[in-house]
Amino acid sequence: MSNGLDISKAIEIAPGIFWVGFADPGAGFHCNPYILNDGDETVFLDPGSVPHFPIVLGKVVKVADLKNIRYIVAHHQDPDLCSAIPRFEELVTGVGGELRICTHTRASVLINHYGTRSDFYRVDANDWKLTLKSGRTLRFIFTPFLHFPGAFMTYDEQSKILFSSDIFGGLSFDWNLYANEHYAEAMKAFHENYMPSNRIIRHAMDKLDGLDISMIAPQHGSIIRKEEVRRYIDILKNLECGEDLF
Amino acid sequence: MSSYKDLVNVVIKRELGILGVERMRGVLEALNIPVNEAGHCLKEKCGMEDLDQLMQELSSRYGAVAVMGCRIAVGRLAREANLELPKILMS
Repeated sequence: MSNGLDISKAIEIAPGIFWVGFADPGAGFHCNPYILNDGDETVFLDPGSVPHFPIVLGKVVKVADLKNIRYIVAHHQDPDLCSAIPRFEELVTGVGGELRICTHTRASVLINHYGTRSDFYRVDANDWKLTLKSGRTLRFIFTPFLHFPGAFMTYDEQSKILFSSDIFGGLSFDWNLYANEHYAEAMKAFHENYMPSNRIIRHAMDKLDGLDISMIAPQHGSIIRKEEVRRYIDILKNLECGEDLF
Repeated sequence: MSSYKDLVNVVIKRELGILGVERMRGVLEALNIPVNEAGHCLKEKCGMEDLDQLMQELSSRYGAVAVMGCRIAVGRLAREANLELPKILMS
């Protein structure tokens, strides 16, 4: 359980949007894959790793039809979010589905090495957005060098959720789906260790100014609710990390 | 100017976020480090050996992630105050 939520199951964090991750009580580093259902199209964000695959799959099939998974968003190329992609590809294509991997060109050349076969939808070559059949638009926000040169975040214009990838992630043995009063320290710990500099973080945070964000759903750590969004942005704007420490 | 007690307080605050209240309470009780409700160390004075013991305990219970999570924050403060760090926090 996490704050009364049964995290052994998929959790709906907004209408049609589900957390489908694995809460490992012995790990200090959790991964958060998300499913976004929009009519008969499903977007799968940061599907996860091979060790987590059976648990994530078990949750995905409870909330989505595999053949409807049209897009996998891979915010960068790391194994904790990408290594399960070939397994999901096999299942989706096995039931007649057809999917594309949304990522940056810089990440696509590396994601290939997991043995993926799907076509890429290169966010940098598609005006930094993806429009679903319903007209719903996912906007991609480029966050170079946080921590990968082709890293980006995804903003769902309908739910106003910011899927922030590694940014706003945390190191946490005391994992909760939603951030508690101590989460800022867990977030600082992660960013100090993985992000390159305050200047580069600030460049990304400035892009969030004026954006109406209902919640931040990071790929590691805990979800940040609307009332805390601006406070957490300010914390990162002022955090020293990476080259600032030399 | 910061002291070793300040460094210990940085570790406690950071680990409350990483490990959570219950796990961190267990660590502090094992080392007989008294804290107030806000998590501030109540020992009158701390030395490098107190910081070392705290980090060793965190490492032995929770491994590299627990150490990594506070190494940079503690290191920055130690450098500003010209305080030597125990080996476990150096690298």
